[in-house]
Amino acid sequence: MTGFILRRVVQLVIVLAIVSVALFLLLRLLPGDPTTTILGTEATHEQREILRAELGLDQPLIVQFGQWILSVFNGDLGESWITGEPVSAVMSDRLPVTVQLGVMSLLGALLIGVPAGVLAAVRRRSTLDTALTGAGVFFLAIPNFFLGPLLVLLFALSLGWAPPSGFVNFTDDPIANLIHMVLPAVTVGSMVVAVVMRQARGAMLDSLGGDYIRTAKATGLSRGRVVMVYALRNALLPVITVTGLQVGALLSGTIVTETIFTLPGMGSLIVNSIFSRDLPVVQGAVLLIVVAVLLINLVTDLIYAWLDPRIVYDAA
Amino acid sequence: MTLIQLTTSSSRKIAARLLRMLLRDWRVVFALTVFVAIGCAALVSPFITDTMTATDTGRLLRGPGPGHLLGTDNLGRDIGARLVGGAVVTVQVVAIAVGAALVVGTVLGLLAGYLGGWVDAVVMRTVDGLIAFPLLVLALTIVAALGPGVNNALIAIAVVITPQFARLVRGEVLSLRTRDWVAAARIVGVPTPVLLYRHVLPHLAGTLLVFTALQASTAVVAEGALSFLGLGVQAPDPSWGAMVASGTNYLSSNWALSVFPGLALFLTIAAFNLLADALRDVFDTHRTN
Repeated sequence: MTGFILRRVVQLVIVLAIVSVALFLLLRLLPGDPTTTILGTEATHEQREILRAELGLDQPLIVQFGQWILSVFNGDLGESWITGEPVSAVMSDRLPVTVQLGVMSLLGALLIGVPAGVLAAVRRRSTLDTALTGAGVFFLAIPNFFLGPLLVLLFALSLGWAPPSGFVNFTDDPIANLIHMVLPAVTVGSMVVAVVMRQARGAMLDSLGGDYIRTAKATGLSRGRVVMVYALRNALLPVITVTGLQVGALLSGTIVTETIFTLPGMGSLIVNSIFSRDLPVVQGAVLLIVVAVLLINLVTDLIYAWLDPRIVYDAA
Repeated sequence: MTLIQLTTSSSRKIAARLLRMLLRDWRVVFALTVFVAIGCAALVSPFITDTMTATDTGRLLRGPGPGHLLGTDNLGRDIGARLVGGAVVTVQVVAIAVGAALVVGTVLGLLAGYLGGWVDAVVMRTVDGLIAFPLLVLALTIVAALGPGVNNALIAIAVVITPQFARLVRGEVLSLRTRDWVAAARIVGVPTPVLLYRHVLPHLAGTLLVFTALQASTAVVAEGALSFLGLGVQAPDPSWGAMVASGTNYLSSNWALSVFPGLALFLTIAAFNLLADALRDVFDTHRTN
């Protein structure tokens, strides 16, 4: 296990190195002059040159990259070109919103997706199975930037059950915060629910067909116990992996959803910074998201290895 | 009848049988219907560009009704006509972005898997790096670097999807390259490009077909999201994603502005997903859900 963890961490570091080079190069190739973004079009040539030197933009690319990486390791992601605030400070205000949105939609997806998948598998080929599978196809195909407006139209504007947009801090008013987050969480989580349900149904069908299930039934155990304890336990393994892999898609979903519901999270930060050409903020936010996804994937792998005693990773 | 004639005639029979099987599947029929509708819309759209941009200032944000069958937007433009116009971008996304990703990704995957060594190392590490980004985050970053616009959105989508194809193909090639017929072809001295094209690629056809349908669905969502955020297709050109976005400001006055383009996207994505499911059942390739 230690060997496996070590190997996975080394892999992670290599991928991170590649990601940071790619991210750095991609945004340095940006057409247009960053000094125009900061100083505006009225600035003189001298003012631009001074700023260029200050930002280190007059240095060779490789030196710029080295300086950037060094400061990233020191927790310094640079300063916003627009507001002058440290990027890390801008992000620390925004991060909790996205984390809350992600956690709520992921929990919701698991709480709905797993039981729905189990039900569909247990009642295979019934009307319920067909209905649930159909709902899965629906939620996989509806883009979240369309589902969001639909939910607003139905639950906010027509029924008035939830506010159409806006955000309240959890610490200010927990109830209002949750009410504001429900529609966004449904918007982000809908696709994940469909994926989780599909996977849970497939995995349950596989494990319900196993010999040990027949044996368990033959020993006279109750149907509920056979399904919930014997079959579900094995079926949950692939569900965990698939859910872990959905985190990237989930974060993609938060970008669009935060824009729809005007939530002050990381996603809307990235979009706004792209429009205002605030490169350090885009770079910092994207880097943070990629690191988060990579870490979550690593943790998913470790949980999987820990849960399944058959997997021997050190042998490879 | 020679052996070669025999195999081509029997493979034609197999192909015909597969096609008949597919055409009996409602999912395939549904997908084809949607594709034909989109294709027709894209063909018609150059002839109705005037209708698409014409503003009927007397009728802003009208619901569906006579005159404007699907209603009008906030500038009084006909939603139906703009819906037809938006089909062009969808066709471009699938034909250009997914097409390019399919070709480039397959070639890279074939080379990486077959040649191994430093080619494999360079290609696969790049693939690992790109796949680490959530899809939309990478697409956004590329558009941030290149600037908003439909061409840059197409480039971004192609770049985002290419590594997916490369990884899939490389994995398949790794297992195919040890097969007897590949070894035989290599010993006889078949040049590598010919060997890959004739003796490896055909075995990937089924898997690639399923995967392409899935990636097309992803690509349509990605373009919709980029245009929704204002980074894809730029006004006044119509795009379904941008139409949904502009409609979100007027949900209470005219729901049709968001709902019709959203439905068009939904049907397109569902068509590709269902087609992929149906193809997977027929070809019984790897379960890539």
